[in-house]
Amino acid sequence: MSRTCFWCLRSRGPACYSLAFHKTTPYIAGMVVQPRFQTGEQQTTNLHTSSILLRGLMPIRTDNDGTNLMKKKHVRYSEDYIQEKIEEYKLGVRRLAVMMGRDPKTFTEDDVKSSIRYLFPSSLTSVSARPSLDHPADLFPREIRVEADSHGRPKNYLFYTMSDLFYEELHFIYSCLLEAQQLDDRNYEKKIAPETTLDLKGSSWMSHDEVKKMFHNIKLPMYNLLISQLSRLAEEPYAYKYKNLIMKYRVVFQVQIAAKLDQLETKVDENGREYSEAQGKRKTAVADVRVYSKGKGRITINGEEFDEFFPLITDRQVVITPFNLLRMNLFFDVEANVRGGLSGIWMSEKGSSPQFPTNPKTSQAGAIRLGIARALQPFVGATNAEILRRAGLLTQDPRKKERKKPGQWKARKKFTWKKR
Amino acid sequence: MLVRYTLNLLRICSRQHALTPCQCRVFAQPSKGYAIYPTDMVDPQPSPEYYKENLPEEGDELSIKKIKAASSSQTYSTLYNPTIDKFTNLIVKEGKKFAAERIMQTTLAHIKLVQLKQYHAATESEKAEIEVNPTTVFCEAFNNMKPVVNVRSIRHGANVYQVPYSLEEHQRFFVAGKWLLDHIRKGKPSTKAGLRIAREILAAYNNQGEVMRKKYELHKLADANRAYAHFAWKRK
Repeated sequence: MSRTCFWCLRSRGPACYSLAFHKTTPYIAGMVVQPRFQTGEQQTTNLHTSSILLRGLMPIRTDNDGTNLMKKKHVRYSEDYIQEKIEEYKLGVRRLAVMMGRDPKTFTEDDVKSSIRYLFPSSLTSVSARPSLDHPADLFPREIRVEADSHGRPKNYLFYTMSDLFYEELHFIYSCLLEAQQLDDRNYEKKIAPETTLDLKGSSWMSHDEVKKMFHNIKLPMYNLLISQLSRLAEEPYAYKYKNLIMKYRVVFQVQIAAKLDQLETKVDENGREYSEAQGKRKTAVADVRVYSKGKGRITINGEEFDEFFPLITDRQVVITPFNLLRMNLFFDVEANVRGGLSGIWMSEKGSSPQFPTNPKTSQAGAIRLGIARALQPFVGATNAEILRRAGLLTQDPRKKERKKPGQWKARKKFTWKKR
Repeated sequence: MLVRYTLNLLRICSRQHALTPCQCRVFAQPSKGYAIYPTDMVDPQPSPEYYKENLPEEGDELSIKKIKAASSSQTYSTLYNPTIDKFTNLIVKEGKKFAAERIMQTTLAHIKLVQLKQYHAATESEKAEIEVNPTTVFCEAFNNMKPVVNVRSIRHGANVYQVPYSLEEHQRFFVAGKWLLDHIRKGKPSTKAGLRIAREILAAYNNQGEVMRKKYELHKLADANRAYAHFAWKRK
């Protein structure tokens, strides 16, 4: 991963740390900038605009290491070095917050990313080549401390597993499981019930990436093993005694996804009818849907009646799926305008009948279904809206037609394979 | 490619400001070219009764998770049966699922007719045992057709052996479906496809018919060759 120099936005190299290098960069006429550190004489260097902005971010430092990380991938840095860099980083983030006119205390990592993207817009496709302000813990790999005796024999008996802390943890979890089982057996004989139960609501297991931060170099099968062992422990009746251990690997969620549902407003028609509007999409079909609250179950699409527009019963079933789920088929009226989505529009109508159409409208039906489900939310209440979400009716189907690739006939069909 | 797609998305999303701030979460092109959905997204449950029984609560497992979009065949009606839906997918040719649906309708209609005939011709005591619902008949018969093991050719030394191996549920389904359809596609086009399927299903319901015979032969072959099962792991 190449890091760009904060000064000149080129690949970082040892030369970037000398001001002489920057004298050759394009300048703004008449611009005079005071350098941040005191040099022997007053330097009037004319610098690139972006580097002027960046000047305030990090103090100029000529490290003996010359942190060109690309050339030093194998190097691991000591804790003290990383701490120094973390202090610099925190300072830089504070200055960035001030620059953006924000409160430094409420400046999150996402805010850092978005402000860097704002200040230094880049159209480079490679994400790692764009300017960024990363936390040093992500950039600099830590050196591994090995505790060994004078003969060089490692102290930890699990050293040769290459992830001793991880396996130690696994052993510990298993010993806790055995303890919990023994406790359960003893108390069952004595007919004593456990005092409380372990409640894991509102939290979920840490993801693979998060566990990697705790134990570096843990691959997916090992992560799965850890989670399965912890789940097994959590099933025990006396698992509440090991709550600290279990909650260490759990992430508590405060903001639920259900709360992020669209806050749609209901509007009133010229005739005084209450309705709500939403848009739905499927492939290239786009549907603008209006759902009227007090209705008889009448559906009109592009001015046509429901069964005229969708002669196929499957398409009709797709459209009324949200009503089917909530058993509210006859309480709403629907007016929809749908366009697009007929990929086979160039196919001839020859040989097509209503039951066997050459241009079926299933994508349009899917678009209307999504529009109806979205528009129903304000009328139907929070629990029913959550039911719609859990049934997958509020997610837009992301499938699109796969592109044709060079060297193949179609997306997947290949040319005939010839051995020679 | 990525840049062009994101620009297209921006163009699409900007039109939406006219109406409502919708959840515009579209994963237009998969990042590595394989999975469409991120791995943490969950499938929705197919039966509508599930949503009646498990009402959403705060702090529920599902309240934290993102849900995948329901497919077009997922209608949440009480008439939906996952086995039949999956079997119609096997019948589909050139993407014409409406044609496959019609075939399934004739199949189920024919099964019902035959069972009703039996029902009305039976005595009072026998009537309780006759199943008239064509969906249950189909599912039971299809389950009868599913093999438990399959064999594959493995070269060991100079010889090729037919080595048995166990099948997962989706594999069992596919093998049974493939046998059934291969058998039907050999039949004469003068009889309707739905009729041909229905006849084979009714035979399998009573553990008879060509497909059942095929299943029993495969089981016999696997049983005879069970001594070679370890060849799947030891390759010389």
